[in-house]
Amino acid sequence: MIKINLLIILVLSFTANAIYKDQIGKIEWSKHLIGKSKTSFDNKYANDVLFSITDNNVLAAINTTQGNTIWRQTFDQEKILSFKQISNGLFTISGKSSQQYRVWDPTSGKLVWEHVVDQPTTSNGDIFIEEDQTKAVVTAGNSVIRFNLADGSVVWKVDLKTKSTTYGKVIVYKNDIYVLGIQKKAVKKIFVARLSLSDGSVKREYATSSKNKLNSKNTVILHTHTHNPYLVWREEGDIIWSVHKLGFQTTEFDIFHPKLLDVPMVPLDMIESSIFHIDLGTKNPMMGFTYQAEGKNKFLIAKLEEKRGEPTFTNHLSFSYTEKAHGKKRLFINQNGILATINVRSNNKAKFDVYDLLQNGKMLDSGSISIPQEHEYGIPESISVTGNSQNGVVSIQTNDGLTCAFNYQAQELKNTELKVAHPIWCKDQSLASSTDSVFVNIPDPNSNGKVTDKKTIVEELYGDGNNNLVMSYLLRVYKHAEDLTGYIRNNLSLLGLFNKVHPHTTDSTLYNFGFKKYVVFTTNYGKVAAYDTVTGESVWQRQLLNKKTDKSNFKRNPWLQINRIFNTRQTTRHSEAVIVVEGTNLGKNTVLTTLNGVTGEIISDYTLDLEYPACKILETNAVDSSSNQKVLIILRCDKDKVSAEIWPRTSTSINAISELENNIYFVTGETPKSTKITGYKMGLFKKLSSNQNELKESIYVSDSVAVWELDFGKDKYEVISSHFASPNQKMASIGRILSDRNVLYKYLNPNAMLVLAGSQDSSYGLRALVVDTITGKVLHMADHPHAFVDKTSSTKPLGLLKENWAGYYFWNNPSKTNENDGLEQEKGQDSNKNTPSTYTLVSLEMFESGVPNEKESSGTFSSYNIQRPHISSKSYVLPYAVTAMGASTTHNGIAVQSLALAFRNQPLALIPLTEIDSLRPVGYGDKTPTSDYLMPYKPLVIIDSLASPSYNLSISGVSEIRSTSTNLESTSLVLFYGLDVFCTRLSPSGSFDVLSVSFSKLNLVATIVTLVVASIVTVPFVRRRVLGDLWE
Amino acid sequence: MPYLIFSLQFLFSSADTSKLYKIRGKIIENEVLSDPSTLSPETRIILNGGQKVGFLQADGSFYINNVGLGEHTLEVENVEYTFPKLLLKIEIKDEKAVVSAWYYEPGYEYSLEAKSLPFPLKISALQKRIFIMEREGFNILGMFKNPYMLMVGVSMVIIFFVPKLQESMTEEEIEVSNQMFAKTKPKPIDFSNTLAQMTSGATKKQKK
Repeated sequence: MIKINLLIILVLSFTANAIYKDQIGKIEWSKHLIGKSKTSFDNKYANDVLFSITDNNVLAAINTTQGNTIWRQTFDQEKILSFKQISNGLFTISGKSSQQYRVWDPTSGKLVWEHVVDQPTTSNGDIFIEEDQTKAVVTAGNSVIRFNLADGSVVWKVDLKTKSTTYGKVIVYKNDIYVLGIQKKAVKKIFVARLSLSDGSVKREYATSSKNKLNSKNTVILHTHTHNPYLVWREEGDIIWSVHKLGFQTTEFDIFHPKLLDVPMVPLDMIESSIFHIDLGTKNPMMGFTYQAEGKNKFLIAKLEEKRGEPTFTNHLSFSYTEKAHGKKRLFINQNGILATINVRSNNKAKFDVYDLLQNGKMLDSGSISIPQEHEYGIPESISVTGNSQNGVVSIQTNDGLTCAFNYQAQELKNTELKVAHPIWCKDQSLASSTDSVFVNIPDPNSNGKVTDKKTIVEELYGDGNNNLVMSYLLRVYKHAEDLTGYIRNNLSLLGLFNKVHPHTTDSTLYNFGFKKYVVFTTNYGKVAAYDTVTGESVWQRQLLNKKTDKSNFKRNPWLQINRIFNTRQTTRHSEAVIVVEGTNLGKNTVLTTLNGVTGEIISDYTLDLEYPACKILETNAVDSSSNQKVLIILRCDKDKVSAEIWPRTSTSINAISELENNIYFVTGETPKSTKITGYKMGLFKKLSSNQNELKESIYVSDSVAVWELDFGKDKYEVISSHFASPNQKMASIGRILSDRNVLYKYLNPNAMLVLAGSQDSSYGLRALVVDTITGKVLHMADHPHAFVDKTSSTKPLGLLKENWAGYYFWNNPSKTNENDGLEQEKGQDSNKNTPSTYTLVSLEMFESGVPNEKESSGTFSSYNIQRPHISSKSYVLPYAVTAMGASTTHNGIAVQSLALAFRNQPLALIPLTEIDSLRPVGYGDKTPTSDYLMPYKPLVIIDSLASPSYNLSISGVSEIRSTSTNLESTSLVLFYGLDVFCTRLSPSGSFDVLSVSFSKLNLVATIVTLVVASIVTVPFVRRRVLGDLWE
Repeated sequence: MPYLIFSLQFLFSSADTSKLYKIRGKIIENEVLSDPSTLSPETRIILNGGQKVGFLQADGSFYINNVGLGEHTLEVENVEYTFPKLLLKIEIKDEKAVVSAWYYEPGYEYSLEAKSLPFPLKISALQKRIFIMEREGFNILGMFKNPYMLMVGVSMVIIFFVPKLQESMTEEEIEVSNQMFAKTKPKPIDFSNTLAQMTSGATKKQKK
């Protein structure tokens, strides 16, 4: 019997999630992203390739005619500081604790060579390619290195030792190298080190009189291979320009603005102008200058020349251009000398111009563009261009990460009507910066996708039927009858028997099974966006903006910084879903924005700036009867007290919460890097003030009392992460059946919290605790001195809590330990045998008692009833590193639950919880309670690639996994996101409640028809036989 | 594992306990992966679970920089192929840095007494992952393997062929056959007679 059970489990676990060829792209969708582009340049050797560095620290090559990513390299923790194209590739400087110098193949994205310096970087780095293109001089941190570009060999390396100076710019001129940095003394100044090109020896070091940053809009370093470099700057708010010839300590010139640039300007416009370096491969250095004059935004290119030993600037080209406030971002010059500018007219409309600077600024093309408006994308922010003087592609990016590309073609332009350019492709990268997500149910497509106030006959007669079994059954029968009618009607309408064809016919089945929902994401760009879980298509998008009162700050940060999203009302037959978005505005105060989850419409009555920063928002199950939303509790943490208020601010909310208010507990300090977790009991809510607004009647506040405290700091630990069980989880069974048919009752504590804390002063040492948030009791604690907890690494511990199960993952290195705990290195029994480092998953299950059939609690759970749960735990070894953990959720919690894992650079995986069960028997002599349907314990978890939901797709950078149930008990919707997004339907226990895809309905019908025909055909023969028998 | 050909290359500087070393290796072709240049650029070479990361070069070579003395684990991360895991030990012997390498399986102990892998040493793919299951198409032979189909087939044979066999029999043979059936035909139970026998204690023989 046991063998049969094991066989069934094995077969199920290997085949339940297998993907068939005909299912690819039908049950899942994915988005391969790189993130919003931060800086980019075109490929000198290919006209339609753009290299980009993104906000997600990704280096990517993009085909600008197709819009696809040719290759990408994710740098994880290493920040990319600088990149430049060289003859055999792309040179990047990146790093954090060490300096990484790499050259990449521009076609394949693979590494050509690399050099690593074990010294820290700063926020800047620079690369200068020497004139003969064979060598480069680079700077990062305090290092200056000269490389042979062919093989990455180091010609020389020097470390500049001037104190308090960070370097970020390097220029080579003749036999000298100028390394520029910022010296942080009493007054910050631009500091120059002059080095010998041949051996890197320092010739001279000095500070200039410039107090600007190197990347300031008022500072520029002008240089070419054949011209002495100059530093040009202007102090903030000044109209006098200073010019310093590098290498000459005293040679500084002060030039009044009109003398520097021969353009008529008023002082205010001079002050607001910006300046930058342009490299067109010319003999003389070029300088770009954006300014406003006569009410127009303009752009000027000026040439630097030396006349009688003095620098002089002559105007080379000028254009009408764009808003000066956006400076260089709205202007791009590619390596073929093609300049593209963008002039934003209104929120989604803009005009681009393309010029050939090598043909004296000849205008090649111009076009009016509009960003697709249906999803309320942000405003155009930056432009890039690939191509040459004949044709190419202009790419325009909005401030929320949408990029649209437009063709340009050299043509004779007349002063006629501006042509309208249509995008050749658009790609939204904003999901690469998602901060949170929720699933939202949608209205029944059979009712045209709209909710209705009309009550069904059963509802009219018996109410909603929620509290009555018979009424629920009647409602169910009514619903099925309605579905059947709709199905017949839809199918007949396709045959033309009815004129009205239902618009959502194809969605109907997907909706009925609960596969079709919306997943609403929030992103770093103030965006709230809903996507269809079946197709992955965008349904609606909104950008939540700051108020424009603080204009200068608004231009830098126009959107709210969104932290979390709550689903406070699900869609029912009579009401649409409501979501509440928690954001932080420019004043660092919390803003709550309420949206209709189905349409994305902002509900202004429930949108408010709280005018204080909320430290935490709690979800409750209390429902406000006036808005039908779940009540949220907003916590305000002041120095010495924690107070709370309710949301929405309605009297009905306070009525709803009053039933719970003596029993509301919460914790603070469970966030990363905290050293102390404090448990609070919330006091009674008191009316604070009245408000004129009808819906925001009054504010009720409550002061909370600290009831317990957990101090990790005294043991030199700090919180890595905290995990709570979902408040809406459903479970089918309250116990585990053992081999002898006895039962171990689950410890189902809704107030349990799993805390992972790491050593503060060591890279090793993990403490895992299960804590009751009501009493503060530590229900379980385990120390793992060999666990790697370095927060700067991509290998960080992860945790998950579900029902009575908790799991946590870490990299375990038995040869390393927390230096403070005095433990010796782990060795096997044989001194020559060692245990290798492993990716470890600890699976633990909590039971009311270790004695079978012993049930401690009765009725409603109370944290005070059970002193300590019985803990059963096992450690498992995973074959690969994990970046995110999640659990599948089913409708009633009956189907076998699974652990969803995002492995780093490996296929995504789904592991049935039975495979990592804490009750798996260790051996024949094992006396601990066990179940006979479990396989004997083996530490290594084998991952079958056939069970991977993502098959051979490369899903990178997953940091979150979310799951929701469907109407089929067997099936869950699971969402993986981080850099890429992947959403799929999974059936961890197989599709036991739905016909297999391979089941042929046609065959069934054909068989029945054949049998019926055969029966009819044989009737005369049978009659003849009977008659014959009678004659005999 | 006979299908693996191993070799790794390591570069060392002069011995120094505080010194950091550069590990170089190469993924080479075999029957599983015939061309390492086709590997995705997102392939990573991971040291110690992710504390150090190496990128792949076009010819399959890789570096791991700044590696200290001691034991290290090395893995190749790729979506389409699996690769063996290696344990490296860098130590000072006779004032020279020496590296030894072994394969290991996660979750199992290893012995440093085992013979180190030969040098230069290269890594080959273990297996190409299979992700997609093929559906079984319509197979007429497969139908006949189904026990239900076999039962139906036997029944059909009996229904159609037994009457034909009867037709081919002579009248005498039919008569004999009928007699045989008649003999084997169970007689109906006479309940009243049986009950009378039981109550009177008489046997069949006595009755006769």
